[in-house]
Amino acid sequence: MIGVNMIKLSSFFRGTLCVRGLSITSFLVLIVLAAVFPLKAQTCSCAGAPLISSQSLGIPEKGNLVLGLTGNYNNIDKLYSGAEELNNRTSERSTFTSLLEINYGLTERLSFTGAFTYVTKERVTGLQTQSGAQTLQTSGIGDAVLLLKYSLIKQTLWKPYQFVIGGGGKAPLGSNSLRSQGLSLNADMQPGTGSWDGIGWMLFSYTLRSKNIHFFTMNSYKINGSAERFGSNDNYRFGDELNVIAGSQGPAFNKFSYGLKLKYRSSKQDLRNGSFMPSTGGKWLNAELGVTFQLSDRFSLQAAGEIPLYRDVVGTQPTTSYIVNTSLFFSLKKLKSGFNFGKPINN
Amino acid sequence: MKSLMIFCKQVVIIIFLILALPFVYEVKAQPTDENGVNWISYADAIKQAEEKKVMVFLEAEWCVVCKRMHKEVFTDNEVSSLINRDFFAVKMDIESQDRIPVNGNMVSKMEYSKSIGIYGTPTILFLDRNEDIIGNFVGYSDSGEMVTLLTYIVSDAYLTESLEEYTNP
Repeated sequence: MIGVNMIKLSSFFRGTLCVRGLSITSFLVLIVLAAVFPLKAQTCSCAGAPLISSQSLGIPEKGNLVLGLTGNYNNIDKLYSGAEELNNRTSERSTFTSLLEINYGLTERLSFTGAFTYVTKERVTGLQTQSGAQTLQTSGIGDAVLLLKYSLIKQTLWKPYQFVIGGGGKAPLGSNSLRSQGLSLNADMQPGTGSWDGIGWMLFSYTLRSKNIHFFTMNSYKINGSAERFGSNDNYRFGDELNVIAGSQGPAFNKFSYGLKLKYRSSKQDLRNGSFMPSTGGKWLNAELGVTFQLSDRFSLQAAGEIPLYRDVVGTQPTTSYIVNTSLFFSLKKLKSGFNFGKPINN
Repeated sequence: MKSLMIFCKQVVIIIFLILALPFVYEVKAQPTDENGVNWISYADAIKQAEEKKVMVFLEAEWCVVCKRMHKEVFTDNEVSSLINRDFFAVKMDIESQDRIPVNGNMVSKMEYSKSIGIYGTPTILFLDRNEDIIGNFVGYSDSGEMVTLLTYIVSDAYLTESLEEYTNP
């Protein structure tokens, strides 16, 4: 959340909350359960690891470290041809991504964001066939996103909006050449892409102060590089990707707040050895509803569910039926409420 | 065509929900009955600061929590009695251009609020007889917490211990 707004949110909640029974221990148990949850799933053009769309709002203040630990489950069990659903699917996929997001305020306006992943993908084939279903699972460290964000317009008590731009790249930390029983696996079953990608990012938000509601739009564009797989004779390049998110965030009751997002993603077709890969790329529009609970001055818990509203894929592709995720956020600096000596500026 | 219609319908519903949700949350705090606390101007409070400490309640027109405190806390008998007996109480709109005397200079209330680095509303400032800021309290506090805070300041306990130590000896 955004500095001033967070203060105001927490101020609103002070003294009004009773739900203190949900301890940090309980939450950690939940996170651990999420981490060991049987990993299904996979992706295709449907982007397994939520690297870009997970970027949180705003930037931390100078010297503050904000950590986010997220478990994201992407169930990909619909089959689409263009915008039409097909009923004769023979496979399904799922992806589970554990994501560590690090945000650090370098100056009052400049911050660093790093997102690191561990990805597990699963593909079940042979559905609705006599041969029976076969399951293939891969897992490993995924790619990482590194971004610098600069606040062109910084939100204050007197200025209820902000404009932040960012730029960086995706580092190919994950493997892109995994094999199974000696066979090369498709690019969409690899934990990483193998390529260095460039990312442009921006956020604009406006706060309706009388109701403490934030409206925002967060957009990014990723220009992908290419990578050699399995030696040097298999050059693969994932399609460039546009992400547009619009939504609102505000108080619900007690220490709960809500978040609503409309998420649009457009991906170009992948290229393999200079030729377009069939059945890659497309457009997706999803809706996400999330709930955040302020556990303490430093910890907050968030859960969200996402469903597709529309998709128009290139060719025939498996695509997402739903996504769920749970996050734990930690802020090194406590919420600045309560009594402090001297002027507010000194604290 | 059919799927396009369904898609359009879903988009309309979602956009409606996004726009409507802010208004589902009703602001319960209403304009306050301030019979409890004797609010005076900043200039008058500073003039008399030799007699009592000054409590400045920094608020904003759009601040829901501020209105809630006016309604729920400053109308509480124990709170208002304590404030009226031991403090000069001042309300200050952080966006106001009205000018006040601060350390011999005339500045607007907004300039003053910015100069001391306010980052959230409400903020309560406590000033001593020299117009120096003893401390600040940010955010909502209920009547019980407010009584503790006021007692902590008026008893000069802040000179020797933190509010946490004072509250949990």
